Amino acid sequence: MNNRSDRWLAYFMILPVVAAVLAFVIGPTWDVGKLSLTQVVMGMERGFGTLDNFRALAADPLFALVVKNTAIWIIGGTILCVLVGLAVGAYLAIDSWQTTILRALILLPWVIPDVVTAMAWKWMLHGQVGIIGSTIQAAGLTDEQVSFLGDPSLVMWTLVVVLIWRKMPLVALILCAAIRSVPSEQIEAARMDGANAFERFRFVVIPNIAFSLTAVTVISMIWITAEFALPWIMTGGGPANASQIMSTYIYQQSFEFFNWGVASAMSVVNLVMLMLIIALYLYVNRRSWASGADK
Amino acid sequence: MNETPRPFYWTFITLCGLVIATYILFPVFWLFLASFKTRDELAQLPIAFWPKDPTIQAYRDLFDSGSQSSQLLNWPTLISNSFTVAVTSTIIVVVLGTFAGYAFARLKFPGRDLILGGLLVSRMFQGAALLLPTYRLMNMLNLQDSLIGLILLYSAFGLPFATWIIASSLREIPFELEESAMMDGASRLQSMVMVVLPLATPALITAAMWHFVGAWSEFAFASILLESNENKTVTIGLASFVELFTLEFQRVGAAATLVALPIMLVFFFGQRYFTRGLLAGAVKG
Amino acid sequence: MPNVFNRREFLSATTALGAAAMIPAGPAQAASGELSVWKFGGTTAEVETWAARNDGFTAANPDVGLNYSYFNGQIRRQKLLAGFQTNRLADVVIAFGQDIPEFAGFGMIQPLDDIAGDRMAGWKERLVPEVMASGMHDGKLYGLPTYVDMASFLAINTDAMAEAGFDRPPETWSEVREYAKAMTKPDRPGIAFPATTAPVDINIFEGIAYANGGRVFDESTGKVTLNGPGMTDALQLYVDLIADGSTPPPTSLTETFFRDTAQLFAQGRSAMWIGLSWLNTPWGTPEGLNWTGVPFPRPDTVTGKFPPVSAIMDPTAILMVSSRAKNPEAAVEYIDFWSQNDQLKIWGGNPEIARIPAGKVAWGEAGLAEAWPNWVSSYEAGTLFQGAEPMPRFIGVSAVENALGTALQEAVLGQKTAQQALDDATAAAQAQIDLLRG
Repeated sequence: MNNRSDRWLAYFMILPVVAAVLAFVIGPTWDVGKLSLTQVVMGMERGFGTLDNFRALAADPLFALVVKNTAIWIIGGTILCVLVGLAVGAYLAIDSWQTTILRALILLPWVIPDVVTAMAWKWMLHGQVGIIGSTIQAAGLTDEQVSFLGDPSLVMWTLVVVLIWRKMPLVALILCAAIRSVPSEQIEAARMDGANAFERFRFVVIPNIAFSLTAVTVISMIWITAEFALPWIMTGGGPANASQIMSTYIYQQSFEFFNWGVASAMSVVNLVMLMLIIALYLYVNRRSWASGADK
Repeated sequence: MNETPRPFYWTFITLCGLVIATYILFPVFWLFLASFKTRDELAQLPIAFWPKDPTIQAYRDLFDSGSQSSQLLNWPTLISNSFTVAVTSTIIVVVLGTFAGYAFARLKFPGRDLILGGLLVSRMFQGAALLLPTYRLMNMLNLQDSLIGLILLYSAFGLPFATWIIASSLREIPFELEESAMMDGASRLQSMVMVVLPLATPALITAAMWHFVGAWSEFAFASILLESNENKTVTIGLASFVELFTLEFQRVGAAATLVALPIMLVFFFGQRYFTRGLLAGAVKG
Repeated sequence: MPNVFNRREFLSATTALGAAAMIPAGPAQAASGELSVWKFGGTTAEVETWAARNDGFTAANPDVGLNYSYFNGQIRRQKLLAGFQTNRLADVVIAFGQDIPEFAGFGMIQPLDDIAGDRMAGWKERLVPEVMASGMHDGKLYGLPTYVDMASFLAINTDAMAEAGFDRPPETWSEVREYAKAMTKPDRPGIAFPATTAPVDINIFEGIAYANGGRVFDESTGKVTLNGPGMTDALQLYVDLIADGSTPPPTSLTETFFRDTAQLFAQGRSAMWIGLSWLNTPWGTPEGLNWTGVPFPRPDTVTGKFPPVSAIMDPTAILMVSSRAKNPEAAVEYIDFWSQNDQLKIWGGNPEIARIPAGKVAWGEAGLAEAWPNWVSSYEAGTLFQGAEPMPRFIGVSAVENALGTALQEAVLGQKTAQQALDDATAAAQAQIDLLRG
């Protein structure tokens, strides 16, 4: 085989994809980077080459809270999404009619546009007319009906529960598929050696699906970062900014306050933090990642 | 697993199933149930679970030209626009993604892993912050308020992940198959199309379904790029609808069911392949 | 500027009224070309009627290719900003009066005086002057309002009021507290008010605070004045109502916006609620509910430094012309069409009954008189708009109102005292304003 012609063929084949991503994703991102260093006054761009936007961000008393909430959203969301997905995936990997039905239905949250599911959740979680709070109250678990989205101490984690509802099914299906592909001889051998169910899962299944776990973690993190409609429709950052995260705050700064210099600076900070997290994660997991990629 | 059925085991499995099913399905089911209730019934307290007199009035209202909702929102146009955008961009994504995926999986070239990783991470960049620059770009290309612009944009958004899924799955197919085809005189392109792709069908279907759902549900970019009524997509219609009828969940439920139905049909038929494709894609890397 | 447009002469095809004072010579020629119109938000009835009436415009102006688009209200600013950034704003934009200073300041819209001077006389004749004034900014008319909303009003369940032993609605803040407490039952709070960060919820509060001599911003000094006594004491009223135990749980107030609050009132889940002028919301007042709507009671003593207002108002469907309109003649023609009595009657209860109409003709309609007898009588007495001011409007208004919304929630939730919350909001809003204004 001719290596050089292969090389050109390869570049030719990936060209459309790379070009599309450069044009429609990297291009606008570059634009945002430029804007973050531009002073914007009254909607007019007034001179490039200033750090004012970043200074304004550093001086914003809200920004620390936004970073904290974003950490809950992205890191908490990702970890829970993968853990719950792993548990549900392990359950779905069992052969029985119950799991067969669930496997067929579990993707429903994912196929309904979040413009609608966000409204539905908001309605169900409402502190006076919501079915969830009233059921919990009727069961005697709380004295008063809880306002999941109106209580600043609950709102962020409530959003995470809805986020997991939306994203976890895919993770569960992927991990279910991975678990089912673990060679049954290995599990059988461990059973012979007297390993109990937990030990078999921990020492046989987990190492076998390590690459998948790394992959779904990175993918979920990317999905969760890009998710905007859900928090925006459900709380819009409230109450009292208790659920303000980067994406909602960026939207607010650019389209409600018309302060898009600061909004761009925030996007840049957001992006840098995410790349660091992902790079760190991939570095920590370099073994499973590398072995998977080599296959 | 060859456990012998025991009552305890059976109960455990069923209970777990019920808990998961409640969490995953209840919100969807609740909305679906609401679509058969009347407005007064929905306002009642304490909340009634089952509709007292199930009615399909909300569904009729969606299409009845005399009713409020259909004059505002032309569902047939909205659905056909979304369909055009989703199907066309899915075809683009699968075709281009297959070429690129093949290159990443089967050919050696400098920068391969780096480029693939970069493509994947680029998905993170699509947030609220990119709305304005994207709008500016589309305007420069004279593609605002056009379905073609939306198709190109969605394709660019969907390509990295599709490429990755397809590449991962192609890596699993033994090289020997292809080599023997080429020994027999097939060109690389021929061997790719005749030998490799048929084996990668689940991955292609997965990538297609994946992208279709994403394109069908996208709201933020569509809402800022599209202007004229004849170009609007179904999620824009839904958002207006939800705003206008915020307290009439029977209508919201009916509209949601209507919009989710096409995707549910796709999934009903494609589910088997989808799971297999995910297995090949994300599992083996 | 006028020279640019002299090539084509505008002539009203629908009425002779506009044509009378028109361009001098040349053969009569109707407006022609493409015209794009964006409308944002509105009640269902209004949105529907608006679209239907557009057919009348196209019939009267066959040479104008009308490209009308309706968007949901929430993406209003995003859409306009994006359009402005790329020179692609619709020719006519139907948005909020509160937007005018920002849109004008950014150069997005143009004064109608410059392009429609000849139509003004007709507009003045057909529109209520106080309402028309809500389209003014810096001494120029930037938009033609079709109606206004006023803040703030109080809806009272009259059965609950009688049950608690009162024979008239409350008139002062201390009476509001007294009434609310007396009308509270275990399963039914005496009063509810929306406290999300939705702009309308903030307008409702502003109406109360402005009546107490509060203001959010002082244009003459460029300073945010959220923490003045007028604002703080109004916020204290919210806090007191909660402390009295007369409201739903505070955590529920912060997640319940105006429409949901209205619905809870309609379901008998609160005895009073605070809203805007459209208390008779078409969203769910059931048969058999006896209720009345009154202007929100006054403070016992005004504590703010600014003159107290009787109400604040804003036109939420005001027609503006983009400064980049490619076809200003047709745009003016379109606006003129909506200034005609046939169109203005829509808000006289046919079919829209939730607004305070701009057209004089609407005030003579039976529908309005039936729904709002008090409005009509005070309109006829000339007192309806007495002492009313526009809702806050200045460059940076969104940032300030957002900070106010946060303060409102912090105080309602008991995270901060009213004073502390507003002090913090003032600092935050000032920083945003300085940034925006440079």
